[in-house]
Amino acid sequence: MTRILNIENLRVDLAARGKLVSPVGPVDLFLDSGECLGIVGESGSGKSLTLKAILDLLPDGLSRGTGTQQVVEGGILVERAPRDLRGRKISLISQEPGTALDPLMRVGDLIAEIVREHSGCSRAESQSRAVELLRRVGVPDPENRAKFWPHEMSGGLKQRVVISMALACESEILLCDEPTTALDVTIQAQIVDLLRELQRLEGLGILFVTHDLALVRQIANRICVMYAGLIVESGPSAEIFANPKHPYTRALLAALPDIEASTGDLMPIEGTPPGPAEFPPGCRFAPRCPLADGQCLSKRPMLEALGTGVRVACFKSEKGP
Amino acid sequence: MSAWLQVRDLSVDFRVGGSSRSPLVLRALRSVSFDVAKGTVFGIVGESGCGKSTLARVLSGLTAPTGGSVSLEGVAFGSVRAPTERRRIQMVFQDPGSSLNPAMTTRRMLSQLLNYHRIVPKELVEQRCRELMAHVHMPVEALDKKPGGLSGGQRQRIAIARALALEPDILVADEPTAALDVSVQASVLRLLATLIRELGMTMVFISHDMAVVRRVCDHVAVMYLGRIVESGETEEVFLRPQHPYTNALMAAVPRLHPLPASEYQMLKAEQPSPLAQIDGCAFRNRCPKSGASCATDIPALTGTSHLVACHYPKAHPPSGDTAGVQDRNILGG
Repeated sequence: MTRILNIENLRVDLAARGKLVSPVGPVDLFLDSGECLGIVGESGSGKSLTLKAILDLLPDGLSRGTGTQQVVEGGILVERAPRDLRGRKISLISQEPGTALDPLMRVGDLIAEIVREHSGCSRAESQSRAVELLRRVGVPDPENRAKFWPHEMSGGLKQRVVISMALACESEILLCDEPTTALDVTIQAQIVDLLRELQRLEGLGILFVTHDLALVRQIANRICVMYAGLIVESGPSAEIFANPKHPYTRALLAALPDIEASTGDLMPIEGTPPGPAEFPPGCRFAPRCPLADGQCLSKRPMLEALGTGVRVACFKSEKGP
Repeated sequence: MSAWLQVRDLSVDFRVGGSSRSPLVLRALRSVSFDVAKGTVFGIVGESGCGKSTLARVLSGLTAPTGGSVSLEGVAFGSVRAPTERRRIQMVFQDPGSSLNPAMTTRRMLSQLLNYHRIVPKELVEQRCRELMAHVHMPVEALDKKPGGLSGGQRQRIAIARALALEPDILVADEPTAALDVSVQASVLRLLATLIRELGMTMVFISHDMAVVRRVCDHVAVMYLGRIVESGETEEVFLRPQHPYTNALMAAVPRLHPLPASEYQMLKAEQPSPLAQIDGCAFRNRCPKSGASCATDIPALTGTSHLVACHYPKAHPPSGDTAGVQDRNILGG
């Protein structure tokens, strides 16, 4: 496994009433080839903003404060600007595939245009490559479906088309922002299966953002848990689910209904996550944390390695039950 | 079980276009029947387009059925319900952000309801409002707030209080936690469980989330394209599914302890359009074991306590032996 993406010190800024607040960061991330990194968190945790900040595709009003990203080129990591990466080395797959497809172009033409842009091949050749790509992502009857308009396709098929567009860009990294949230569970299973296959066969690296812990368990090798704009715990997915260290990760798992269980009490987390303007000075989870003491309220814990490959930002993680 | 709520042959057709000579009709519900016993929770699961939300709207009287009946304690509702009838089945909607009036404080909303339906005498309205806040575990100050001043979970509690204000016999909850984060979902599910226990409420719980349904519901019905394909006690249906669709749904649910790859059964293709004319079983194009009769005959929902609508239902060993859940006997074909 080689490192294909390295992100350091990524911060998203928001200018609010003359005061600068940072809804995300600073955050460090890395990705190896053929690996899937899951980023989980609840709404407002900054998981989607992190993903968008990598490609500098932030919504109006937000800006990238700091951050560098290195990608692998010819075997070495080099620093590249977001505009040199998007649609090339890195592609974004959003929650709503409808918004990523031009409603006035047949899906085959959409893909063919990208193929021509990237390889400079002829019109006819790009069309047959488009059909090939649709077949590659499991679209049934690709010759016919290439002539469909986006509105004629179901959500699951549209998401496959978006994935095939990323393949047409010859991207090595897919940033997936809740790509299955709008889909039914049986279709979600199909898309997750496709992503895994691409990861295995083509060595694609995937950054997978979701609020669904069970889903991230299914797809990610490694996960980062985000809370209030910061990573609070990261490490191998199996290890974190078996042995969560951060009180927030533990609380999330205790609140989650698992399909395997019919009984047992679900534990809600009291209080609400803070907004960017009211982030507490110390640990951002401290006001809701059952283990918090004076130190937690005044000083921010940094991510520290625990030896099992897990990194956790908590003063109490060793002493916790 | 003794039927408290009885639903018989419910059908709903929506005209969605076409000409007057050949109208395009979407058959959202097709001959749906089930019973709900008093004090129990009846779950309805299915994917988008299966008709579960239409069913919720028919139960609470918001959509008139094309055919069939809904009756409570043996008395059928008319197609237009009187206020006293409407009161008896109340609904909690998916998104409290859009189901609550943003310009109204909680107090104004609740007292309007209590006065209109004459639930309590005028002088007791304020007291009743406070009691309702206590029921949904909200501080009394929430009565002075508008929805904009409340978080998503708090708004859903207010929506539940609004439904409870009319002292209904049945609460219909349509994906009540789908818009909430898991940490908040847990508190709303807890609240619903408490209400059922303490107030003896009967609930119809509609969801696409199988894990939540397994926690909350005593009985469950699985819907596919407007029909119930399997129903019974939740544990029985989820652990020993007989319909191939239920089986596939269970296999597709992401789990914290992933199934080994060999037990991972993927459904091919997608749900057909609800506008399509389908002869025989609607699940046929995705079914791993469809046979000749599936193309011609619509399977009826049959059985005694565990009902299934399939020509080739999966047999399970009689005991609680779960090893048989994954057996691969392909019958027929």
